[in-house]
Amino acid sequence: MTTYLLQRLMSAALTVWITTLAICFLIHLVPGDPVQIMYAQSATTSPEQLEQIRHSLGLDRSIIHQYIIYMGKLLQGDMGVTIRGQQSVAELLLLRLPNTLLLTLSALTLAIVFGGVSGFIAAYKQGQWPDKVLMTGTVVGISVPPFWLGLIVLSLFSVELGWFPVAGQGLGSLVLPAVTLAACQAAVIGRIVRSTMIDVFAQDYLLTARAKGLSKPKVLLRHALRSGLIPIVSVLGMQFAYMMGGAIVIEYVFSWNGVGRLAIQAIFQRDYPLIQGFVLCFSMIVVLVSVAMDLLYAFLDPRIRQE
Amino acid sequence: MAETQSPVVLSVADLSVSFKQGASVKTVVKAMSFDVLAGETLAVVGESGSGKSVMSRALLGLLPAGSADVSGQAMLSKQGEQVELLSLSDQSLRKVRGNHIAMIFQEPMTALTPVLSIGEQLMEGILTHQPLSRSEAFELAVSMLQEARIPEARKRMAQYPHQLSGGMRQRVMIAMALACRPRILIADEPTTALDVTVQAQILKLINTLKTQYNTAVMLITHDMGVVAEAADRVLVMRRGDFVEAGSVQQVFSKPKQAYTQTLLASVPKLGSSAKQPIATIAENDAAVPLFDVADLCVQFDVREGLFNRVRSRVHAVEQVSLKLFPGETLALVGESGSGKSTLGRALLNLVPSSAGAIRFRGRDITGWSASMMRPLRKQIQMIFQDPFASLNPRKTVGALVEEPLKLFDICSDSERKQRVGELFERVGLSADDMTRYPHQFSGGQRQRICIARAIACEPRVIVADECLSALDVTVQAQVIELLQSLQQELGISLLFISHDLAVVEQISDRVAVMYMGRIVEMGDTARVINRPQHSYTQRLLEAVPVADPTKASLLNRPLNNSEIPSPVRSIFEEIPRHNMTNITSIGEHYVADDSAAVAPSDVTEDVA
Repeated sequence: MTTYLLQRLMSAALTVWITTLAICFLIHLVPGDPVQIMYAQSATTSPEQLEQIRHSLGLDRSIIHQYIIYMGKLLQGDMGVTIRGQQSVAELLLLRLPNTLLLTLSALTLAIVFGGVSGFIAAYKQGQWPDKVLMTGTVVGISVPPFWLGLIVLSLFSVELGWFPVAGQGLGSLVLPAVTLAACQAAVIGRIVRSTMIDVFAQDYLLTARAKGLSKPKVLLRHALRSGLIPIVSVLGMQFAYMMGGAIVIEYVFSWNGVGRLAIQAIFQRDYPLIQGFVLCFSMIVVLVSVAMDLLYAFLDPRIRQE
Repeated sequence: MAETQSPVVLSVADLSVSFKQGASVKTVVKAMSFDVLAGETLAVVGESGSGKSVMSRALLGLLPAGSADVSGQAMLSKQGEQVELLSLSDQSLRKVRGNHIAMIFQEPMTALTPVLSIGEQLMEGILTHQPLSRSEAFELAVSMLQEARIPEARKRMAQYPHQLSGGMRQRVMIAMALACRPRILIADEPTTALDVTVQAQILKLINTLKTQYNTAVMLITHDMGVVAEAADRVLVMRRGDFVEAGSVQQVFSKPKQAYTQTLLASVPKLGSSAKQPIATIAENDAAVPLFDVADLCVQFDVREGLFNRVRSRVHAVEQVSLKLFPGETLALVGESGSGKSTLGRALLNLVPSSAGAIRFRGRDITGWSASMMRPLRKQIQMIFQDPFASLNPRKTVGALVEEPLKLFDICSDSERKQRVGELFERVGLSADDMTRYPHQFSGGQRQRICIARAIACEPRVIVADECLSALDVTVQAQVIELLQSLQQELGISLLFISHDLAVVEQISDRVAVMYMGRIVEMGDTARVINRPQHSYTQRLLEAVPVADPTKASLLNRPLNNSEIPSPVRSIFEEIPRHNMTNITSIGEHYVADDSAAVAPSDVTEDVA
């Protein structure tokens, strides 16, 4: 278990390090002069000022040198300042991050609960009407683009029916974006749970459990579900990563004041330091969550736990 | 024998089971009637599709509720009262399951829940049926594991199924099944997935506990050897029908029905059926061997620790030397994990060898790449164990057999169809079958198709890896006959990999016994089987069940409860040189020099 844990942490650290490399060199992938593009909208900036900005961003030095400076600052928690307004990127991200986490974690919880329950029922009633209904539902969930679904629920429940606020940061405003974000993931999780549980239901050990005279809930929950959780948990980490991507669009649609909305604004304004900070922040969250899922996986699987 | 004294515990009358398949109804058990007596072993025998497993599951209501239709009567007598099982509700039936009637299954590797500890799985059954506290249930579970001769029973309680071997898991299943002292134990092919030496241990264990607790055993099996060794009475089934029943002696000595006679005649019996030597290999030494293998080793790295470094290796094949001559059959025999399949694959360079040399027809082919091997593949073909998995389900069988002909450009396009037709007829199928798909054939027919595919490009060698193990005995006998006639006609050499000594005796000229990756004994088949010299060969032969109740003695012999040690060795460990000596002047009979080292050290029965 400790070996497994250390291996996971090492690969997580490696992933984060590769991300910092990518982020630092990302700016050079932009065709043309990044500084000119950044300031293209403000015609008043003089060539001397541009040179000064280039120097302050370190862009006039060698790539290696730039990376060393970038990492040196990063390790002290300094992610630079935004181009518009000269605010600290780190502070700005930290201010918005709780909102994003609130949204994604509540969406993940919804997706696990709805996807898990419907997948389990569909597997248990395989081939019968509940299975068919639920699986048709998942096809819809997977096919509908989240931004479109967002606009539809927004106009229906907020504008027409007025049940929820159109925008804002309260708990009432959380419902619609969380449900929209969860819908697609619930469908994916539902299908994964269904196929896993169908596999588990066919296993010999369930026959053993029934032949022992155990009650149905014991057979289904203790023997079937506990075994089925292992493969399901192993894909949840990746599903969360997809969900973080989806959150960017959803935050924008519902004007939810999270990191994703900030990122879209930063992209429109060519605010490179902010984009870099955002990419690093998002990838670290994804890495953290997948490490957590790996831990859960190891805890559930005695083959890893006992090592 | 015991028919008049012992009370009836289960009386089954007119039991029928049918399954709905769309609009049609398929009856798989037809009006079966029989009694199970206290303390006896009733063997239910039949080939695949006979309905024997379905019947046993129907008794406990374990068939899928929606599709199975069960009718008839099954009276269970418990504590003086009679209960009709088939009309019970699922809730009342649950009180019977595991309590009055317990079951164990074929596949011990998958029959235990992987995420629950052995202790939890044992205790939950006990707590369901008995008014005990958790600590009392724990102690009962420990004592049951001890009864099942599981060493260090207390320690096992906290272990998980993956930490135990197949034989140990089957012992856990038995301990679990007997924990509530059931009146009847239904054992559904309990030893089929186990090696013969382990099979002997498990059969003996079931028999001992049966006597101890006066439990009736319903032993469901396809193996007539197991029946002769372990049963008191026999019930023969075929395609859901009752064939005949009687005491073991009666059924084996005077079978009444033609089917029982065929079944008994098909069983290969050890020591009775020596193969006629093939004339062409009379002067072995003069011929150039097809395969000449010297000191071949195959090792697989085991990566461990934080940095995945190789600290130890699995020594799957260790210093193996052998020759395969044209036209002969060499059998590789051994238990699971002995390295016989790996050796077969290493010869074809399908797994990389780590040391030693492989010569094919005088040419050194050691370490050849896939592209270098490709022209040679025409001369060396393989047949696998599972005829269901080795045929692509999306291609017609004609296309599958035609494939090697196309690949090696053996005949022109126009001739090819005709050649495939000839091949089909050669293996006992019709040329009209060419347009059908694999799922439309039975297991035996599929294995014939695999054979047709293997002989299509007229190979010199066929490596047959357990190619008979998945087949019923009557089918097995036909396929053996086919292989032998093909061999005589085409002069193909056969490397026959098998765990079944009786089949090996029928089919092979020479035999090599493998143990932990090494060949421990090799020589003319009759000599090795009739006069085994190595302690492991002796142990293996002793454990083979004899399909003759008058000679059966497995249950009376003291048994070695030891398990095969692990072939994983540290990379720093020095591997001793493996030497073999020819102990005969006429022919060959090589015996490994380490016989004493492998000898069973603990010939004790009670480990507990």
